[in-house]
Amino acid sequence: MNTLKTLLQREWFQHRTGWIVIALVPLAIGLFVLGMTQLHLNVDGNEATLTIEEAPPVALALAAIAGAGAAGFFVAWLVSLFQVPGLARRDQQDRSIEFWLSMPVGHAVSLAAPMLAHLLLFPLAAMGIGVASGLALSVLLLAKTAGLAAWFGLPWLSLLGLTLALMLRVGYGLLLTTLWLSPLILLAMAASAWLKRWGLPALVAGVIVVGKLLETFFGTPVVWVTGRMLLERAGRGLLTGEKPGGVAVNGNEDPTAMLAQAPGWLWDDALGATADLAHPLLLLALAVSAGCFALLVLRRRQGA
Amino acid sequence: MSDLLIEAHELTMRYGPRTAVDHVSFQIPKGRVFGLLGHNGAGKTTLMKALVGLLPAQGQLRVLGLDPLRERVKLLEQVCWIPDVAVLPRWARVSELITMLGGLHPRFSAERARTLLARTDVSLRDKVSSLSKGMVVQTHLALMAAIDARLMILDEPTLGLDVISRKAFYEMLIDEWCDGERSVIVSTHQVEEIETLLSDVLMLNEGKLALAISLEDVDRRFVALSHDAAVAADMEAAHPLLRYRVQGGSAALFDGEPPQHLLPLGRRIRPSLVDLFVALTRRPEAHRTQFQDAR
Repeated sequence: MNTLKTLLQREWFQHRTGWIVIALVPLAIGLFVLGMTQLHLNVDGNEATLTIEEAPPVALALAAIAGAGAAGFFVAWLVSLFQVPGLARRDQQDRSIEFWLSMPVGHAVSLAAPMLAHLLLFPLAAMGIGVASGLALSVLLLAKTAGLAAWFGLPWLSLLGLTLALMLRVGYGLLLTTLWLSPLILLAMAASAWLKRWGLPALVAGVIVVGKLLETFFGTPVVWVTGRMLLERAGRGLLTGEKPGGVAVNGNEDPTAMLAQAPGWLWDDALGATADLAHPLLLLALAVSAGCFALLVLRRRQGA
Repeated sequence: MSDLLIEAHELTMRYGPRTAVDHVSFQIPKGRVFGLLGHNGAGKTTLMKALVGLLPAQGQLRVLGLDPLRERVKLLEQVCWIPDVAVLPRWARVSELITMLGGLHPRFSAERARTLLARTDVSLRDKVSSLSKGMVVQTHLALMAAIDARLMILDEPTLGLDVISRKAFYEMLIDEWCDGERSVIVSTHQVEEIETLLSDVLMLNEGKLALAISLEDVDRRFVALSHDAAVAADMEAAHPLLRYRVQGGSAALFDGEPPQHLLPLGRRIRPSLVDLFVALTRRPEAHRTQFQDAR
């Protein structure tokens, strides 16, 4: 019997309507944008107007696919981050906690399943749906600008290879980012579980007060520094933005040339993000996360 | 395998300074239907939570030979627990609940759940939020009765339901689940309604076990004498457990045989569980009022 699979299925039953709507946001936005004939681009800080007819077809297709995939991912991820603190006490709120507690399921897996579903699986699925939406949008986009033949003439092997590489990089990056953000996420969940609706305000107020006290009386901005480091590393988990030689990407590259180079660059970027894990801060993050998870288990054991 | 499904010895449970369950000892063999009776705050829910491993207890407690707190998951594979009315998740459809139970409970039979639900007005496509309270409880029982467990624990399962729903609930429980091997513990305030279903009673009074007895033994041990008002003083002088009104007069309830000289003054009647419950769990001030009323 696969308990975890069933608990994930429960998340699908409970949230599928919202998830489907959110996952289709990129398609809706794309169709709306397609209704416009001009795109306003901002290149290297210089405002420029470029009619989409002037853009190379491969760039348009890449923009549609990667853009829709990224939009799907980020919208889903932000919604999940917003929802996750409430997961800790949703069953208490709808009075179903005692039903779930009557099942022969461990507390840890009961808590881990919704986190896995909301923080990892849903954003990744939304990215996949976004990419599929982007493919459909690229057909419409190129049919409107360069003709349908241009869409069939695209270098699909490279384009799909890059898309796959991007998805793998984001998937792995999400894992790293979630790892770096886990103390913050679990702190918010534990605060919400124990202090109910006052949990998040109390947590924010507590962090600010402790941070200020430490800074004022001990001259150590350790709270701000730690928070900043966690957020920076979480961001780098998704994308370090460094070329192998250490040169930052400036977005002014030829898209066709990038197609061939990008998978290798993404691989190196993933290695760079992995190297970030070798830092004492990770131990602190894991320790705080484990402590908060234990608090969640304790709270759940107490039932309603 | 032991015939005892539950063995509790000197169980004590506290919420801070308050003792909710106070040195309670009892045993529950297989094939019995136990009523757990007690006033609000008597410790019924606390005790039931200990039985399913959700609260720690001092003393010794074995349920199906397991330590509930340490082996909760393993225990719940063999125990059905309906903790309250209307605790099913409101967002779920009945068919989804069947799917989820099929994945979460190794002894759950989806086919049997569908068969049991077919005997109710509940459709598999219904959302829990669209069902009446009575239908939710029926659905919950149908789901739990589809679990091949050895023990079912029900905590006020029909609280707030109308009489038709309560009757349907207990009929399904007895007809579809009790088979002479399995046991049930049900806590309720509606003592008179389940009296005919019970084989044994446990009465809790302010955390203490006031009585643990089979209904056969109740008839043997407790005697009630109905009597006229003219002999009320004689009855009162014998210090019965309770004096109460019955149709056409008063009655005195005794623990054991009443004094011989009282027997000709009254007529033996069978004390109801409600009367026994009141007698053993009443508070002193309630006793005084009732005693005066009965004169």
